[in-house]
Amino acid sequence: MSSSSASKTVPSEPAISQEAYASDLLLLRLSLGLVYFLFGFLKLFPDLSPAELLGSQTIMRMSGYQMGADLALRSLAVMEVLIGIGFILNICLRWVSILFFAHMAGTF
Amino acid sequence: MNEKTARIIGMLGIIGIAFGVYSTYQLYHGSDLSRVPSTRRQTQSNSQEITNQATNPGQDARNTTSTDEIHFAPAPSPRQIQEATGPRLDGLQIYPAIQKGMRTPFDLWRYYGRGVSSFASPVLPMRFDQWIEFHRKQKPGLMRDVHAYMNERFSFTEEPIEGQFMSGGKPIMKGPVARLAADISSYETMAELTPSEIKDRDLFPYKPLAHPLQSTAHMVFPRSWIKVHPEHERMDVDMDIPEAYLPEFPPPMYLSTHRELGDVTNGREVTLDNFFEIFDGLITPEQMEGLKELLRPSPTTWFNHTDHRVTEKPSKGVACFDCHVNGHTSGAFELGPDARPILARLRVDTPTMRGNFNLMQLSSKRSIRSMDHFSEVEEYFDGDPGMQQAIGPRAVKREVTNRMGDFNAILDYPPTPKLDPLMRLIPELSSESERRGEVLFHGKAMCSKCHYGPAFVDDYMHDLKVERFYVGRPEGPIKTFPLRGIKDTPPYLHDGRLPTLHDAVEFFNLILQLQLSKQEKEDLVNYLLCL
Repeated sequence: MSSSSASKTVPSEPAISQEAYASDLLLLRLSLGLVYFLFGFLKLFPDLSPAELLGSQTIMRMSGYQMGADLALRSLAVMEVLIGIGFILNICLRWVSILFFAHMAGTF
Repeated sequence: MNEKTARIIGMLGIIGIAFGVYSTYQLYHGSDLSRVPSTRRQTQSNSQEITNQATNPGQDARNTTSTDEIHFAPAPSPRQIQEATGPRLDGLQIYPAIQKGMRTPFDLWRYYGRGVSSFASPVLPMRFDQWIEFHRKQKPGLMRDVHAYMNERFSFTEEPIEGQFMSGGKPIMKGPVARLAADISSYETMAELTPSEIKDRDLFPYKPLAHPLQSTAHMVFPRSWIKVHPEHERMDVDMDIPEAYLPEFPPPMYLSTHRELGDVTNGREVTLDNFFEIFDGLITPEQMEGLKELLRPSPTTWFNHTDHRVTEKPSKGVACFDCHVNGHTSGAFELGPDARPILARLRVDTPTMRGNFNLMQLSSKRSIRSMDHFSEVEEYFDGDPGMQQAIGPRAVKREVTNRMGDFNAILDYPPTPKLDPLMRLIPELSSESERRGEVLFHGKAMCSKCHYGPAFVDDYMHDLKVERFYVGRPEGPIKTFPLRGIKDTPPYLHDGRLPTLHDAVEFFNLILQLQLSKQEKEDLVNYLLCL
């Protein structure tokens, strides 16, 4: 009897963590998606992104200086927009995550 | 909330953000903060208000007196760039964001916009050891792409015109070498099209040439010069035009005061080491001093002793006669110093100094009116005297530039045995084709509209409006170049986009819509080789 009332008043630890884990994942996914989409979309408009020079230089360097600044910036913008859309809409998460980790590696 | 609803909300969020960014861009571009010029026209009422203020400057003062309030009129931003009324921006793109050293598009004529600043900095965007490493990695790929691009535009077969040589003996290349689009069978076929047809179908073979690394720009010397002067080898970029299509090295030097001597250098390059030996007893002390100054290297934006340079080792700089070797041209190119941003500057070949005494106007765009002024302001600092603070000035005094002008003034054209004193062909010395070419030159081909007199130049600047034939930024008026001795100075036009005289004739046949036949064009080239 006592054990039954105790189980009703004190929810089990794993159940709380599971709920929090789910909402944390959702928030993380949406916030990452928002940041990636916003800053990626900015790069499609000349002079709007504060990181356009840094971004294009990085991509040019990673391509072994085979890409021009314009193409490098557009490629980066498209990549970030795709990551953002994938995270926000929860689609193709496996591929989006690969792109995401590749992008994160590039930022270092 | 199910997955479908969540996605719809997410989609709406994405559309909202996209709309917000687009709206921000519409407000931002063309403002004081943006390097993207506005394409919006000022409203009628706003323009009217500004006009009224300009025509009735006392109006505001009277109002202020009556109400005791100060009203500041909304002044138009001095940095605002309004859409031009003539040329259209259709199809043009905004310049990419770049820093010194970064690769730039080869088709820069398709771009427009303003720079972040007119003023350059002597500070590199990275440490010097990184700068060297950066270019070591970038240069091979860049030059591979440059050569591929040039081969795509031109067929450099290196086939010479039989029996035709420059004044010093270098063979003259045959053309036209510009490639035509696959669906155009001949230049004659293309000449039948209208400018707008050529533009719409993107057929024009003579679009401008950009500097292969325009973010850094500056002088690029030919291989023949670099072999003798390895100190001018750049770590970032090389010449993009094959040696066969460039002027000879070293070129002969003719003095108007000693025509009997022919080439006074006897086939040598005039340097600081040998100039006295060559010219002592031939020129005046003033001219000698001027020549010494023309040979003395001085620091430039990218050839100097600082880290802000494109040579691996510190450089003593560049002398006038490094590009204008022996008073002629080495075929080196640079950018005209007269525009900003750097990406808007036009590529310019080194013009010959031969016959400058006959020119009332020097430089392609700047309309420089005297040779001493020319000696003073030559583009050693890319139109940016601020760089002198870090790199050092040329420090040439006015009386010295005058003496440089004194030597410049005796640099003569090469001999022209087939022309009489009035620059007409001597019948018994010329061929039938050359004489037909002369008739065309003064008639149907309309060359003499701008090319006449002893130097075959009118000393005006003309706008050829070549942008009628391709989607591109208008290049505006450019000085007519003299045709006297023209066979010695390939490639042609200010940026060298016409590698041979045949290309030059095809270019003008197209842009002036002359409808010359194949034989007429050949006759015209034969005549030009006589000048």
